[in-house]
Amino acid sequence: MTLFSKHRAAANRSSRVRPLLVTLLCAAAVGSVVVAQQAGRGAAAPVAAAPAPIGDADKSGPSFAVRAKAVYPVSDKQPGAIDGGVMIVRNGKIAAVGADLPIPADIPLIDLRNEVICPGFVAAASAILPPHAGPHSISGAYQAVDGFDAYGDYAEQLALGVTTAHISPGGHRLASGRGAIVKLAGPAESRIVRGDSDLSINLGVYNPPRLIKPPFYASSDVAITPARRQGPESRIGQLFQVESVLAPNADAGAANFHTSAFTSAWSTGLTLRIQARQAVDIEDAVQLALRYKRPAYLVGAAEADELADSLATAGMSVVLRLEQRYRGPDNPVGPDPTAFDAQIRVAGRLAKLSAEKGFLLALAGAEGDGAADPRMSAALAMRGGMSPEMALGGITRTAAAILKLEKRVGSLAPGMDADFLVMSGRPLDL
Amino acid sequence: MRLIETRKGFRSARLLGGWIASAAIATVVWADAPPPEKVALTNVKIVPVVGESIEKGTILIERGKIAALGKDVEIPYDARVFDLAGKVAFPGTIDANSYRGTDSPNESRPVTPQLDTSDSIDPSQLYYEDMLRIGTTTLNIMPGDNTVIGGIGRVIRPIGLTPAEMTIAEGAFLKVCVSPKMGFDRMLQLATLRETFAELDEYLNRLAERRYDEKLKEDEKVMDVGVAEAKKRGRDLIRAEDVDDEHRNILRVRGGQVKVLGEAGPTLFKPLGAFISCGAAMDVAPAVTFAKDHGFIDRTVLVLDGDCFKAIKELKAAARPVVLTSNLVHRETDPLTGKVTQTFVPKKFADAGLLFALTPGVDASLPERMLTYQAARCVREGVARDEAIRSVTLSPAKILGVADRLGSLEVGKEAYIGIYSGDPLDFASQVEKVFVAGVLAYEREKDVRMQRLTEPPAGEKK
Repeated sequence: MTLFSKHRAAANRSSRVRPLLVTLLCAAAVGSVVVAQQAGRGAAAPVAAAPAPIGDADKSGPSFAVRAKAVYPVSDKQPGAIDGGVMIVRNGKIAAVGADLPIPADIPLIDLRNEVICPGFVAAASAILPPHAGPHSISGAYQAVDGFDAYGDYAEQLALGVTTAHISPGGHRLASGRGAIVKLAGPAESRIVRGDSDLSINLGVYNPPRLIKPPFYASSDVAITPARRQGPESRIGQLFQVESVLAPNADAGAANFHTSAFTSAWSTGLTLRIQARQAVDIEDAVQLALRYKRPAYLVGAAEADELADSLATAGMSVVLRLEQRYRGPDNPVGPDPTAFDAQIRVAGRLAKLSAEKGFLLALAGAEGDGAADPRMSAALAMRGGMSPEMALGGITRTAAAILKLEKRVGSLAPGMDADFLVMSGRPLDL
Repeated sequence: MRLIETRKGFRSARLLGGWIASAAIATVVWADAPPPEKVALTNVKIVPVVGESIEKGTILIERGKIAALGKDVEIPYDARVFDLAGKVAFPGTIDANSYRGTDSPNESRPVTPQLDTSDSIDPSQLYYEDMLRIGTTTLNIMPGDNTVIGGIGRVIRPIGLTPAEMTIAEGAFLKVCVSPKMGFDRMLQLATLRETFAELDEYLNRLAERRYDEKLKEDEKVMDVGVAEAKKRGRDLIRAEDVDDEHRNILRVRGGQVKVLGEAGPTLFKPLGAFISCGAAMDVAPAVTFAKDHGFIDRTVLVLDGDCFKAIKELKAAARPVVLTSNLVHRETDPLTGKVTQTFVPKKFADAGLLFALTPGVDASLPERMLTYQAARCVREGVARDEAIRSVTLSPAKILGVADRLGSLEVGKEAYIGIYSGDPLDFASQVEKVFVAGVLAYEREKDVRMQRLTEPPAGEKK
């Protein structure tokens, strides 16, 4: 039995520590969140005037105080656990966190004598959305926010503790579109945190389908144009493909709605989210970020430890995906029972390097695994030598920082959204 | 003194511009005479939808319109009189969104704005007879839901030999679907929608340049300016006949006004409305946002299915009329506990104060095909009776833009009347007669096909 399935089986049995209850309380001011949602849903075409907020303007979240056996704030000021900690929530936002805080009389107290509180997990890379069904290999027009079901029931992900997730249009095309950041519970109008969060580029994927454009009013007089091939067809072509679209004197005739959407998304300065696993692709990613001087972060990164220096120079953060299916260059066929060993080592090394070189490191699960367990990623990373604080941070605070949401989610600190988990034991005890 | 059953021939010019309904219906047995110009329905209980019911009243129909309605109406000597004691007169019900009665509901191509359902309406289909049998006298035939942009629809009556004869109102709405076409997902669906509208802008820019080029050729001059300037100059030269089929209806949905390089040009076409189909609650917000971004939210009608009632807040904010499908009860099973929750959908819309219309479930069980039955279910679940009756008569008429002609029994409106053997919302009542534009289009006692179904086999007692 491999390491992975042993842990998975343990988690599936009634294990000692499980998130008992996930309490998700979204931001108080619906207005500001809704504006973000409406703006995010805008088309590649210029959006009309400022959207009006929907829902009640004075809607606010609940207020209460929680006293637990231990509170893990996962913040700069308070690393580590607070035993007998108290957290005060007002209107859906955290007002105060500390040990033995005076509990105000006007709000109810939830006394959790045997349970532990930690921030809701942030999935910096998730697979909630299947990849988009379109054929274009370079597009800025497919938006993950379009596919997100704001009314959906995400019990499967919530049961694993994920409260905020990044959704991507897919990892199957060179430039698959625009990602978004969403919350998995709460009223539908406030679930979309950021509708337009990044431009998703995937290196190491080739051979997109051909583009077929049937003639309008097909008749015997109208020739059927052959299906158009798209790049990239090999690793050599992938960066070239991106650059040919972005070049200032790009061929206007070959431009279409999707490539124009890509260039306009690029020109608004959206963060690049580059998914690359092998070292050669990671090198390409670093080159892309440096050449165009764009904010960018790396996802996947199974061989990132070899390039830690360049990553640090480029200022790129890393979201390490712990994937069983990744096959290294030495294992071209079949499932690799020792695949996790390599990744565990990489996680350990990256943990050390991130501390040394100063780039952010977050943890995520496998692509395509819709119910990826963040605590499993953390456990594997700890096995590789990552410290528990860094591992917990990798699925909460650091992930939020990479997604530029550190002021809203990922830790329990005053002013942040009250998204937290109630766990029956320490968060990382599987 | 001339009897109405004149043998001189039908004076078609007088009756709704020239259709010959007499030959159209297989089930109706005509006397060998054209329809009378004046018809009086006497002793009938009238449910007019607008105003109070009249217990024993008279409806006078002249030349296809309701000329008089009330308790004491003077009946002209030359009117054909129907004594309908014990019956109830109710407006013909209106189906606001139907994809039946045509050759095929959708194309395989995702974007087909140039299509018109009138090209595929098949007047010989039994569907139209069945609609008469259940008292539905007006149908809005639209393309089906398996599309991105489907084409324009048409409001028709179920009698007539050709789609032109059947037409009540020409296509006023374009079919747009936000829930994904088969084989698509929502990302691709919405990207295709945006692509279509963006491509229109590109097309108009190129068209402006082409028109300027043509004008220069006419004046035998040489191109004298750059591309951008040529487009600006060509903008006002664009004529209606220059816009091709692929783009005309998209331009109409946007308002009919040409926009080149961001500046407004001539208005070439009448605006077109849109029926935007949403299959789930998550589709409502993108549909409304899309319509707002492209400037046609004021002409939009939302067709809602599934759990769209959950998005009631967004729908109230959009304040657009709504067409509901025949699934009036939405059932959900909690994946963890197995508990089943049922919601009666029209009640949510009635409580929210939105204008909503019901549609029959032509693929569903037989009673769901009857709009009166759907209205009766609403009454049972707590919707006010007036509101329920309006949702199958006046509300769809308002949504389709024909409320000045149809939807209620009022003087001046056209005579689309169903005569029921009892209260129209009572399931035991039957449709006895149907008048379509003043013509007696259906009589149950002469309905040969129905009799074949309902009479016992030879030798058996009834």
